[in-house]
Amino acid sequence: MRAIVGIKRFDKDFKLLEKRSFPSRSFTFNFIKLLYLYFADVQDAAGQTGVDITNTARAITNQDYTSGAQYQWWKGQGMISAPGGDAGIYCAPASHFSAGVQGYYNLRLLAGNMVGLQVGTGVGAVAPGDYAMGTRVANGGAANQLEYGACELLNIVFADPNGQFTIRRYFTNNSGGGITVQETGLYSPFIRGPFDSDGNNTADLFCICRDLTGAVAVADTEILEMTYTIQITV
Amino acid sequence: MNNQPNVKATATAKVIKPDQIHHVLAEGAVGLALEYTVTDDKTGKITSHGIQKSESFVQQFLQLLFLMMNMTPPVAAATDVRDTSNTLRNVVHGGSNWYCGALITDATYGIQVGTGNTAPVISNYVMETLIAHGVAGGQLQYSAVTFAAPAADATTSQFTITRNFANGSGGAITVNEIGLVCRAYDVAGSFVTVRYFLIVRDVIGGGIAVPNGQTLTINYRPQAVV
Repeated sequence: MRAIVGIKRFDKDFKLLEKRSFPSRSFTFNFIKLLYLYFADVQDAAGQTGVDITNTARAITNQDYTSGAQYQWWKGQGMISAPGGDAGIYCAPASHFSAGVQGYYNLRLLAGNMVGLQVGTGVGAVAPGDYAMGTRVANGGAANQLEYGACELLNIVFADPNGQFTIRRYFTNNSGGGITVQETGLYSPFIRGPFDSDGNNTADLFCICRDLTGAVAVADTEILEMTYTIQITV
Repeated sequence: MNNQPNVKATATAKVIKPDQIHHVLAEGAVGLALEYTVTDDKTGKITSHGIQKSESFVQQFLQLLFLMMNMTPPVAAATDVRDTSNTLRNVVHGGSNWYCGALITDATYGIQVGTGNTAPVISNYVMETLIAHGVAGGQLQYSAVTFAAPAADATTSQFTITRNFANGSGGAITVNEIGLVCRAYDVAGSFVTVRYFLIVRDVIGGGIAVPNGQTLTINYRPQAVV
């Protein structure tokens, strides 16, 4: 599996100003840990840890809280799709769903811009242990900020021997000045263990991919489209 | 069955120290290293060993990754994924997807071996000719699947999935294909059912000969290389 980073820069009328792409080279140690959580169905007792985007070591788990006919269904572990801006997205580490019983407990509300594709101005070399963007560009319309659109996953296509899908996010510069993007990456929530006696818990954000883009100068009012195209080839 | 090996209840997955990680992938790649070892159960001697890049994530892997990243919710916007019975299933984002820790004797998922030698294609959904668990002719004894925790060096992150296959069949068996099958859940109304999905299939050129009385150990190591 590999990923291709795509960069397109548009003016305010969506006229294409710049377009380039290059192979991603930086799925991080956290991405491998995410696969490990799922493949091995890692439980609290395993004591697995990861370093979140605040550079804090967190206990991470794939343990389900189940009681009777309740099933933990959806907890957002590994999700990348997200709404834009400050619109909230729920991560539900102790959500339950069963016939006749649907409920969500201790939802972790995350700002949509913090989940999924990110951009920054850091230029430090990438390494497996990267836990965050070097210098993340914050969401907003103030100086040195970009407005984060929704992070979308576009449909999978297969044509033997290849298959791919695309992760896409638009960033609009309404900051009043230019911003030079130098890095991009992917943030995703992982579930924090262990659950308490009521099956409640929370989630933390982890960087699962980071790449240097080279300088992408985004002038005021311009729009930046960033994509990760995830590909497999047999 | 005198002089026949017994399947080991637990395979021996060990965390690889950073200076022992084998690098088989190109920069930027996410894939698997495939290691096989054949050991004589009486003498403990290794009779065959190889490490190579796994070539073949198949369609279901990418679909399950898409589901995970797209947080497809329960009973809505479900995506059809073909299971090992050749049936399309409405799989959703779920906390128990991807699991491949099959127990001893359970050949329905986890690491599987077979005798098929047709080159993989992206639409493969099942092993071509699965070797069944057992001690009859043409069968191997499947151990439990075990895992070793993630480790990383300066460029490569990885963890290990391990399974043993003991040959007590009375005759030699040549393993030509190796695969990885995981569980995921599909939804029909308010009901959920465990299904099995092939996510990796590799064909080994020339095959791996496993004589009677010897054990094949397979390590799949998912890796990410910076």
